[in-house]
Amino acid sequence: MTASRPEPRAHCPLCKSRKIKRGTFTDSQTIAGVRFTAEVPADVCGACGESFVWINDVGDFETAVARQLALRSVCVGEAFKYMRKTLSLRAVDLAELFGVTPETISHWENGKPDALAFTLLGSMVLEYIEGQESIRERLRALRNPVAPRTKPVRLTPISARSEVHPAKQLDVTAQPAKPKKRSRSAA
Amino acid sequence: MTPDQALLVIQDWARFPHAIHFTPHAVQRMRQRYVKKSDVLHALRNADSCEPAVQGRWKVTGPDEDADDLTVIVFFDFDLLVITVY
Repeated sequence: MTASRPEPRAHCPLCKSRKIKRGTFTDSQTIAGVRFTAEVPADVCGACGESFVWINDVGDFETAVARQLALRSVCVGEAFKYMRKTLSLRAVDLAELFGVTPETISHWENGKPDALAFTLLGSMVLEYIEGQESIRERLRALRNPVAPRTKPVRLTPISARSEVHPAKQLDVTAQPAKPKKRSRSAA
Repeated sequence: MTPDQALLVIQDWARFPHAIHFTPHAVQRMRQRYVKKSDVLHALRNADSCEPAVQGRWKVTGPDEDADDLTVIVFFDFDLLVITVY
């Protein structure tokens, strides 16, 4: 999740120039009428001006947006789907965890999600950012009950995590999205 | 390089994605179409079609995480660059 950033590229793959420097790229995503933006690191070619965004920075921005959706309780289908995909969960897998049908998940994602399900999914996102999956594990355990343990359980102290997920460090701003302009679609 | 060879190389990059980069254009298209990083990786890893495109690029098509077809245009030399998605 927090692999070290690779060295800047040796050359631009498009113009072959070696004038590569560190820069930034303004990433943005509109969900439910709210536009989230952040400056993410990028390698920039000094010759042709093209930028290259590292895959982990693309993912960290997505996680940061999902975190904001969870914290702001943007309870709409679009946000629900965004958070599900941030967790790399297929609709069928989430349906199994929540004890509902895949059709119900689709219904929530294309309309108004159930508030409790939204809150639970949001909590899973916030937990994921902390590097934990206890909600998912507990839901799994509920769906697949096993015989209770008879041996005593040894408890170990919880150590404080020192690592902060980049999604929590990204300075994401949110503002109402401007109405979409008509534009021709391009590949 | 044949399309089959290119597909194997691209799938290898996608399995160890540390050296994958995206152009701003690709990122913008992803945000517009609600395509996530994990969708792109899933499509590349499970791609069933690879065709040569202009300027040494490759047009790769595979299923995203929700099993919808996703086409990814990539270029590779020392690493893999995602040019656009649709």
